[in-house]
Amino acid sequence: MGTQSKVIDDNKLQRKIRMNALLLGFVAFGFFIAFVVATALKV
Amino acid sequence: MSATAADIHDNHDDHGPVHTGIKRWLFTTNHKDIGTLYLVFSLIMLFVGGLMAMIIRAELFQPGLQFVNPNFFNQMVTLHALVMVFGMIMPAFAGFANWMIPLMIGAPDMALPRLNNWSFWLLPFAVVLLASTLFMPGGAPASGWTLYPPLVLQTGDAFPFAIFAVHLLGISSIMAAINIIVTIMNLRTPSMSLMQMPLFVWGWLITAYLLIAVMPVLAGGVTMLLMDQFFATSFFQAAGGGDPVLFQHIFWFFGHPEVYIIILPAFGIISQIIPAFSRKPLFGHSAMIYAMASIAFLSFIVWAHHMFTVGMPLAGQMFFMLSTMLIAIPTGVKVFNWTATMWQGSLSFETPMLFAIAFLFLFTIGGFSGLMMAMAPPDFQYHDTYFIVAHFHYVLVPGAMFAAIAGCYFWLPKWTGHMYDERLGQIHFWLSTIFVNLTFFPQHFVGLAGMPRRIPDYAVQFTNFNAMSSIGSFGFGLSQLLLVYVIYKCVKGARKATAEVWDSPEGLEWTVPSPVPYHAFDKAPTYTPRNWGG
Repeated sequence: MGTQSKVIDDNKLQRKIRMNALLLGFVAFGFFIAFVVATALKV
Repeated sequence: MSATAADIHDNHDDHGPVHTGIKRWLFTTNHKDIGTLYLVFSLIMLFVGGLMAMIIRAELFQPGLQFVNPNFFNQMVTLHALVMVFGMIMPAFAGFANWMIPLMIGAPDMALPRLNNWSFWLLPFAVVLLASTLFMPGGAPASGWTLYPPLVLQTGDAFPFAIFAVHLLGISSIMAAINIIVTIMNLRTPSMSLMQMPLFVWGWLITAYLLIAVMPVLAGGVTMLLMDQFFATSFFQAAGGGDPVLFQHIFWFFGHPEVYIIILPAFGIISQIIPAFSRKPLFGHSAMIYAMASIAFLSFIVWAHHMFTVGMPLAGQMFFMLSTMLIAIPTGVKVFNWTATMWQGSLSFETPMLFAIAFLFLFTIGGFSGLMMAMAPPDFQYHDTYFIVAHFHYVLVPGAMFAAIAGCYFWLPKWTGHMYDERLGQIHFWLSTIFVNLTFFPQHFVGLAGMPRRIPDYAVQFTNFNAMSSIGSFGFGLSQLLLVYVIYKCVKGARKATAEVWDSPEGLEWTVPSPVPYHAFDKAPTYTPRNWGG
C-alpha cells in the first residue's frame, strides 16, 4: 500500500531520523522524571 | 540528500491522496493535509474558546450577577484559557509549521509522517475530554489555567479527566516538536545552511526545543497534583508537609517559556511578511536569529516574576526583575529590525502586511506593560488585577493571533491556488483592530484602578470601561466570522494565484506552483540566496 507522504528510501537517513527522534523523546521523558524526583526530594 | 526523496512513481502515490473522504483525513500522513487539519481545528477552537470569552464578557457587561453563577464563571475562565492556548493558538502555529517548514527547507515531507498524524489526532480527543468536564459532577476545574493547588484539588469528578486532557495535549506538542526538529536537521536541502533558513523555520526550531524542555515539566507538575489527590502524597498539600508555592514554581517554569512557545512562531511569520511587502531583505537576518535564541534562553530564568507577591527574598526579587527586563533587549532588536526592514522599502499594504504592522504596534504595547510588571515594587499593585489581563491579551491576541491571521492571508493563495478577497480582508483587518483595542485597552485602566481578575462581579465605578470592553469583545468575535467567510470564498474558488503570489517574495516555497502539488519536492531543490544588489 502506498503512503500519502513521501517515502524516504535512504536507510541510513531513516535510521538517523529515528535515532534523533528517540533521543529527543528520551530527553523529554528525562525532564519529566527529573522534575518529579527533584520535587519529591525537595531539591 | 537528493536521494532522500524516493522515486515513487511505481507506487502511484505521488499524484494525490491514497484515500478519499473521511479516510483521507483520518489516515493522512501528508504534511499539507495535516497542516490543514491543524488549521481547521484551530479555527473551530477559536470559536469554542471565543464563545466562552463571550460568556465571560456578557457577565461582566455590568456589575452584579447577570447570567452565570461565580463557580461557572471561573470554569469558563479556566477553559477559555486552556482551549485558546492549547487548542487554538498552538495548533494554529503547528498547522503553519506542517504546511510551510517542508516547503521552506525543500523537504519532501515531515521526517516522521505517522507520528505527525498521531500528534494531530490526539488533539480533538484531548479538547473534547477537557470540554466534557463541564458536564461532570462538580463541573470543570475553576482554578484558572494555572491549576494552582489547593484550589484545583477542590475540583469534583472532573479533576483526573482534566489532568489527562492536559497530558494528552502535552504529548501531542512534544511529538510535534520532535518531528519539527528532526525534519529541519535531517531533511533540509543541502544547499541551505542553518543560518540561511527562513526566520519562520528558525522560530519554530527554537520553539520546538522549548517545547521539549518545558512540556514535561508541566506534565510532571500535574502528575504530582494527581498523586496528591488520589495517592495520598503531599507534594503540594501543606497539611502533609507539602508546599503549594512549589507548584507555582513548577508551573511557571513551564508557563513562562510557554509564552515564547506561542510568540516565537509569530515572530517568524512576521519576519516573512514584512520583507515581502517591503520588497527588501529582512534587516539583520542573523541578529534576528540570535535575538530569538536569546529570548528562548532568558525565558528559563524569569519564571518567578509571575509570583513576586508570594513572598521571596529581596535577592530573588532583584534577580527575577533584572533577568525579565533583559528580555526587552533581544525583543527590541526584533522590533527595530522589522522597522528597519520597512525603512525606505517599497511598501504596499495588502491584508497580511496590515496585520503585521498592527502586530508590531500592538505587541509592543503588550511588551511595554510587561516591562512595567517586571518591576517588583509596582507589580504588587498590578498583581491579579485586570492590568495583567490587558497585558497578556495584548501579547496573545493582537500579538500571536494577529500574526496567525497575517500568515493565513499571506499563504492562503499558496495553499488554495486562489487569491482571497482583498476588500473583505481589509474590512476584516480594520474591524479586528478597532474591536481588539476597544476590548483590551480599557482593561488597563480598570486594572490600575484595582479591579481584580477572575471575578464575575465588580464595584460600580468600573462599569463604563467594562461595558466598553464587552462591546469590543462581541464586535471582535463577530468580525472573525468574516475571516471564515474570506477563507471559504477563497477555497471555493476565486482569481487564480501565481506561483509567486506576491511581488517576488524570497524563499523556496514560492518556487512551487499554487496550489502546492500534493508532493512538492521530488528531489532536493537548490537554494540560492537572492542577490538584492545595493
